[in-house]
Amino acid sequence: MKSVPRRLALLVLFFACSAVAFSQSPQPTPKDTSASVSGRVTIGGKPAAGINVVASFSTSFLDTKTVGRTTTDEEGNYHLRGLPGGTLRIMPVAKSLAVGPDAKTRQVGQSVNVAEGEAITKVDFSLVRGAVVTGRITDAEGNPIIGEGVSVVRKDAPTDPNAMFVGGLRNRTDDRGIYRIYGLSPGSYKVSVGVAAGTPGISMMGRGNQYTKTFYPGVQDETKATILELNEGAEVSNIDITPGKMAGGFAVSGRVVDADSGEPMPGVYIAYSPIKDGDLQMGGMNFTGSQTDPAGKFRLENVKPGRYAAYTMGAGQQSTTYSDPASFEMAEGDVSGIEIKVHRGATISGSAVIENNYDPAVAATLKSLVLFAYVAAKGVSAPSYARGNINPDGTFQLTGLAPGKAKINVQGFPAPPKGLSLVRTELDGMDQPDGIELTGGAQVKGVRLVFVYGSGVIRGEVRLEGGTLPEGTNLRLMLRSPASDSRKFNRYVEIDSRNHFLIDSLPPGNYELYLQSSTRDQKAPPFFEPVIRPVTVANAAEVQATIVVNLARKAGVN
Amino acid sequence: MISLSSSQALHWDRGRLARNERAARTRLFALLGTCIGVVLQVLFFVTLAQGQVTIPSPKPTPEPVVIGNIRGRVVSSDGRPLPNTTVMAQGVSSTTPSIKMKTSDAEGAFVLEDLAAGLYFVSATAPGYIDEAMTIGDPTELPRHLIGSRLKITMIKGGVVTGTVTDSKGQPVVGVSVIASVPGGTAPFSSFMAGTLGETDDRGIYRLFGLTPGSYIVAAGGGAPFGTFATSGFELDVPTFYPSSTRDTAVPVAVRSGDEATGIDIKYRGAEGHAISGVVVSSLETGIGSGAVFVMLSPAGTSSIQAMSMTTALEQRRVFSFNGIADGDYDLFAGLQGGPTEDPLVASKRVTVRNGDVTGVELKLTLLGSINGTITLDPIKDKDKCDKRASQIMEVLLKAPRDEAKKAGAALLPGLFGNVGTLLNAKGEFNIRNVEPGKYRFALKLPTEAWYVRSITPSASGPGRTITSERPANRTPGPGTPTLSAKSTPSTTPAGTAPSALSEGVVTLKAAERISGLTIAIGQDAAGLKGKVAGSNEGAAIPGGLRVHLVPVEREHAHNVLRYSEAAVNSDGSFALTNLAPGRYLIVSRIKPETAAAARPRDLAWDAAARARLRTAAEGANVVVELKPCERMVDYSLNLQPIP
Repeated sequence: MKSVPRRLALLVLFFACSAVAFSQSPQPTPKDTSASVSGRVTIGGKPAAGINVVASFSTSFLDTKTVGRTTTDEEGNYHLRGLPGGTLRIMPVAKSLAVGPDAKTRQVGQSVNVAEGEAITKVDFSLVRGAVVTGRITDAEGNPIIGEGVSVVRKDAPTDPNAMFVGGLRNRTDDRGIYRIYGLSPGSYKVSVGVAAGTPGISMMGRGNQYTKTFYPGVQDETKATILELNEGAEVSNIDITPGKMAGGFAVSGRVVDADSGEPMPGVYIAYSPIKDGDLQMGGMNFTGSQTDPAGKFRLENVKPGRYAAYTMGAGQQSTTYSDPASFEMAEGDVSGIEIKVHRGATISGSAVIENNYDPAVAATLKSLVLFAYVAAKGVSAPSYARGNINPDGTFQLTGLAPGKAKINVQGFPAPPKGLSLVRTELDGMDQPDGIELTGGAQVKGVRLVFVYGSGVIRGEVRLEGGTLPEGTNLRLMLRSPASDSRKFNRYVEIDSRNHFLIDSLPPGNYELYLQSSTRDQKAPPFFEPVIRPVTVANAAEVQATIVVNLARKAGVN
Repeated sequence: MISLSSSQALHWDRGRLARNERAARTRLFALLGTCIGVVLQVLFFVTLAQGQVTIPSPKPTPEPVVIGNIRGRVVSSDGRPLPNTTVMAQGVSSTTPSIKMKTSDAEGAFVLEDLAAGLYFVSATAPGYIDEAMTIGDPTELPRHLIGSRLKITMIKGGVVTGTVTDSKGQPVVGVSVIASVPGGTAPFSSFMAGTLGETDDRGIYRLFGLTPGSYIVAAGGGAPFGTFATSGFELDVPTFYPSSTRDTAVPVAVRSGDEATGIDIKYRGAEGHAISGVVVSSLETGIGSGAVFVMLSPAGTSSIQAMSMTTALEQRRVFSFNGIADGDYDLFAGLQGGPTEDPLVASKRVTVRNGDVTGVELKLTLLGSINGTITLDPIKDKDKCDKRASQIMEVLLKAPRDEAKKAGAALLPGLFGNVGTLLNAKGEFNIRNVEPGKYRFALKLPTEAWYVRSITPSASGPGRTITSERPANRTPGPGTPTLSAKSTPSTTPAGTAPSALSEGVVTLKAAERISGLTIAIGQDAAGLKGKVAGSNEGAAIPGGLRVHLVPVEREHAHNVLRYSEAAVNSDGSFALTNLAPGRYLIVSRIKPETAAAARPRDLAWDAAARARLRTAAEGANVVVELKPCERMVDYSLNLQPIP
């Protein structure tokens, strides 16, 4: 007996949010608050007086804490005192201002790695008055379209068919259909509403995508979009758009049965995915909260023409089953008689250990991990997941998995506990880096999940010598295990505005810092040869690492 | 509406993140913002509708299922049909949770088909409109509907509040969040939806729309109520309420349907507030585990979420903190879902902020209690049945309202953890989950007038209650078990004694207690009594607050609250008493006492002293009415008695 709706909601959170949870390193509440950051804020090159500047840090991807605030003086100078150590975000509170056209990043704020007690200077902000775009979004009958997201993107921004609407409250139309987007840095922009046809979605409240992606002044062909030239402080109004209504879809109905007994399965959630090139899993997922009725029947409304497969959603609950996806072709009319067969899934059980830890407090964090098994299968197959906890005695069980290779991962919510890394998934004493092979309904016992605990820290900086990076070229730093290492450790490292970096919660061992240049154009040659810097990490210790790049020696030139 | 591709969300790996880190992060961040918003909304909506629904391991229901439709029309408040609204039916107490959605057609009509017998919340959504039925303050009182119902859903135009936020120098405050909330009380259900939260633009102008008509207080600044995903720069400030005040001295703004309240300009104070911080710990040995702990802060005694924080799984002691807090009393509420236990763990505490930070607050998560039992239908021969609509047990609405004034704190609890309905299956097994410690009575709404509540019997084991961590099998009550029974024939119940657990129909639940084995017996031959109160002289006005009461004739039933019944008398003198146990009653009319505290609205008979007075009055008037099984008396005339 599991409470489905709430777990379902959490499941959505897991799906959508876990990726960021992994990428953000949560920070404990710091103790020492004697660090400081100072700098100057200018608007159009002139000192900006009376501007609030705040320092904040993220405790998790969901939570940001403001840890300092001050106001610029007559000369535009600010001095934030009493700051904790860590990766702080320094930001002038001036949302109608924007970064100048030659800024390295589009964001007004800067992230700064601060050591405890460190005094950092010259964190400067060179801002300009932002531009404004405003207009009205109406339907074909002239009625306002309420709460619709409006997207203002740079002329050369790449188009991603799966990109969802970016922006918060600020970028939505009000009850009159009016939007107003401000604080845009000078440049060339295009404005659009709606989503590209075929964008998969999770629609919880029943309202799916209603409008097709339409660019100002009312074209669906992106190349025909009018490009708005926004100057510093300009206001461009009457950017009105009447988007095209997305063609309505048709209904798909059928039932869900137990593959063995043929009995109907009530109360099962149904999702469907488009099939592209024979691979269901790449196409995204549509989920509207549909479930089977007491007779096992289901009905999915508003399915747009295309090839799809429907399947049951076992994830998010302690499901012991998985389903065969039932594929169907949606043309111009309702589809009925789809039958989804549900099977008893495979089970993986075993125990979890931390191999380098004697601290009971660390050992206790093991049970706060959530295990997530995901079965990768080729061709058309329903996504198969299992979720499980680690019991106080270290045992675990994951059920309801489809045949295929099951990879086990860890999660915590909203972030996994710091410092624990799953390094090996062992079966019969052998690491299974590609996952555990599961056959239909298999009971795989004795799986050993080996974690290591890490509290090591690398603090360092990238020093550029003999030149500067051209516009559009950035530094990209990875921390990885040496090629010979079986751990396959690979973590992206954020470099702050001063090219400093801080990596914490590292398990002890040998690593290498891998620095390369990156440009927006993926095909462009690297600006410099990648630099590899080996580093050895011990628990509860901090190592310094400086990476020097000689820009005078261009890539490919010895 | 959020969309994500499974390749992004599910096959995420750090290499990929690194390749396209900036764009990816921006996108995911935006996705998250939307995702959290939607999820919170859904979380709330779903918990509200199906707070206590668990799903059985997917086995086919053995019982034959009665299926029907709910149909209706969606109209605007001026009577115009509204096409293209989304109508949703959500099963309230079914063990097979179900959500059905339909779009209203050109005539505003909809049919929600293939619904299993049960109770449903039915609501419609359309941009700019609010479902009138959703505008009530208490989500537990939202109307439920049976299959076969025909509904008219009235949508009212939301109201608008707009104005400018400026600083002490008269300059616009840009990008500050503005929120409208209901002063003091419970926010209308619909106000949890979008629109009540806004942000000023580059001119300092904000516009909140789609507001349920009513009175609001409007505040700018402070932390965002649904978590801080990114710094706004105003988190350290105490919210400034319209026109330029603290919460206590805020001037309420009247919002009318389809109307704009303009010029609600706020002079922003920007005063730095205090902090409240502490830890969330678990009372269980297993600790908190991996679940998500939400901590919410609301002004004491209100349901307005002023700030919310989600703690990370760094360690078993989850650290939380809130900034920008003005002096005053606050309720902190922590909840954990998906933790080590099936049921949620909760904690609440009231804190007072006076001229300084409050630190070291410990919120200890504990399990909530539950009440389990069975609703049974008394066997009856088909020829004796008076129900014509084949009503099902699944259609019974069983609630356990609190039988005492609610203590301070945790005003958010029922809304967020869904003490809204009861889980009920086709066998009549019920499970009232997530119940705070306290006194509760049972309130049943029956799907047919042919039924009545005959008895409520506690478990046979122990002193009337079973405390186990496991859910024990149902037991049948043994001899001598104190029972509440509405049968007119004297039962084995010792007259006038108060049963231990079910003292006069009231159950007392301790923290984390699981009471089980209750039996609620439903009689299938109920009587009904409709009629008019007539004044002694023609045309005499019916006094306001007049109610008609039935009191059992038999003295041994004097303490049996199930045999008492009461109904309001309409201004034309008409009244209707339904779902009555057959038997002999004294009938009497009384003015509803003013002091019947709104905090616990209940029938007079539930109060022992009031019941005794009622009985004395009824015996004094000595008007007896006898109701036979299935009898529906329709034109009973009751003389208006002198009001004591």
